[in-house]
Amino acid sequence: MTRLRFSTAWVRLSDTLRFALWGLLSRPVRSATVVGSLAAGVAAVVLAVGIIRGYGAAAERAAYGVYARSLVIRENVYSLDRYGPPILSDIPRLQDAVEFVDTILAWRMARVAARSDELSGEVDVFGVYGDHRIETGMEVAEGRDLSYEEAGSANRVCLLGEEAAERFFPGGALGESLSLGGISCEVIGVLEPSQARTSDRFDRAVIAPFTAAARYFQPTEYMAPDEASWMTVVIGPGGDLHDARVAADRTLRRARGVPMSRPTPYSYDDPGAPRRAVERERALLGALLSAIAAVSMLAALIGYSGVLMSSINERSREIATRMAIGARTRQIVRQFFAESLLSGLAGGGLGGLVGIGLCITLARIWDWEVVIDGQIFLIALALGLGSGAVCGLAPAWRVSTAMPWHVLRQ
Amino acid sequence: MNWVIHATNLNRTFRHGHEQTTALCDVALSIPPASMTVFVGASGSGKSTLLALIGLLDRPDTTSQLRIAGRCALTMSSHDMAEARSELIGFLFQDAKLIERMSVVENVALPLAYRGIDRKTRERRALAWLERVGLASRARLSPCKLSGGERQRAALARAMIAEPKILICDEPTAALDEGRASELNGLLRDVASGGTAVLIATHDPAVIERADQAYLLDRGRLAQVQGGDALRDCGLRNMAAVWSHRQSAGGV
Repeated sequence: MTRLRFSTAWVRLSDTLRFALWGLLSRPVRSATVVGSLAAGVAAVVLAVGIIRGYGAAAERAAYGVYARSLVIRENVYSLDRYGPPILSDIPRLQDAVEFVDTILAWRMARVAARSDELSGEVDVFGVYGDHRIETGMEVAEGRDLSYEEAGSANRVCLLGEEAAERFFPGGALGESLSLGGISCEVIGVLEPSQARTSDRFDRAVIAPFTAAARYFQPTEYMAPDEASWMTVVIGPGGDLHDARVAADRTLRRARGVPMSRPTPYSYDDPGAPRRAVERERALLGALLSAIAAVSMLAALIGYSGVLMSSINERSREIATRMAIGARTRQIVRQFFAESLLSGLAGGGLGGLVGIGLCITLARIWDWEVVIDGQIFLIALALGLGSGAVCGLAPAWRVSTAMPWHVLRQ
Repeated sequence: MNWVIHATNLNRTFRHGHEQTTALCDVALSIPPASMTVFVGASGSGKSTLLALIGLLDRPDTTSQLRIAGRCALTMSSHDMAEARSELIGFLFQDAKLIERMSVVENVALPLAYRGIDRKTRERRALAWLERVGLASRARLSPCKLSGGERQRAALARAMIAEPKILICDEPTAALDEGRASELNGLLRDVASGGTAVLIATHDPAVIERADQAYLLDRGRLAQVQGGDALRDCGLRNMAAVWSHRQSAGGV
């Protein structure tokens, strides 16, 4: 009994699909118009989604990680009064004074002569006080990271960026000794490539403990051992960058005895600002593109449903004949619904391919970022199927419920 | 008697805005199985409308009573009407109404597809019916390659493939020459002999000659033809002559 039911259901399904396919293929021009009108709308949506996502990815790469919410404090080199760079003892002061501080990193940078067995040349050494990953966003690909103890010590160990490791140790850097300014440092780890433009300088550099860097590597301009090239104050959720900047400036002025009437001794950069600007642009562009895509899709849907409706009306005599020779209402509805689903699927697929093609072409022409994956094609197919279902059911139902005689005698 | 069609007080009124046209008025008739019944009358007399009501392609006015194979047509939903059409009724139209984009055998097999019969079985049965109507060699052709007579025979095969109890024919020979019409009449007679009630709306005297009973429709009113006078009064002189000849020969 179950087998018989399955067999009958299979016959019905295969017949429905066959008749639907036959209905589409027997009128190629009409079907092409139906599919094409839907494909145009779907392509517009896919193009919009592709651009928005690509633009988003570009924005992600333009500014990444901690810079989204942080203040970078440097000596104000444009001020006539020089008070020196920020110092390590400023860290607890800032932590006390600035609200919502998540962490504070201190960096000390020097360009030094480096030499390995294979090569010699200059390299930037970044001495870090704190966890470098908060700012670099780079994990260790090989070996190990600086331990907590090492980060505060003068141990002669270092991490190499990917390009620096390739440059000085083509055969493998781990465990090798790199001479930095005449000081031999053990390579304990190689970092993975940077994910953001803001941290790509670390790809070509060496990261060492702050104290070691202060002791062994002097920047061009003399710096005291506790002085940092810059400090990065990471602001946690709920914190306001403007408030943090005011609080940090007040704290450092008080520490250096600089009255408010004098120019600030430090500059306070907000590296996340470009990213936020990009994000604002992205949101605006996204809204504009979404609106254009929605209007295009709506226009395509109107065209699609119009062609579908006229196609079904054109076949009303055929439908009436089919009903006269034994087709039930649901069989006619099923056939035409299947036809509209198939045309929707074809329109979605074609629109998806056209949209992806356009995305790639435009991205090549204007050097945009393109993010194309299976998901975007699934969106196109779902749009097509949904359109087919929404636009196909009503006319199929209307025609199939009409009295066949009224149609046949016309 | 066990009537396959039984109608009393059958009415059909069409409304176009405020205008009202009565196509059928107080029609009463009973059709037995295995019979060939013709409906004659001038154009616009209501023959096709009557056949559409009997064929459940249209609904009668609510005051009517119509039973098809024992089922009350008036209480049927559109879905029930479609079910009943599928199970009980075959149609043969004046212009065959074959679906041009399907082959002849696919056209003939189509009613079985709507009954959920698998493709091989329905093709086998369609070929058997095409053999019976003399079109086996034309099975794979497109209907547009067939002559008028062949199209009507293919349409007859399509109408009969699901073995209906009632076959409704709306002027089936109108577009055929005498020879082709005669062939089709012979086939219709065979169908009636096989147990199906064949109802034919026609102007063709050759069809009326082979009928078991004849009804005359005049401006929506139906009368059973007892002699040739009624036909003659309606201007159907050829039919009247044929009918009178049949009566005198004891055919009816």
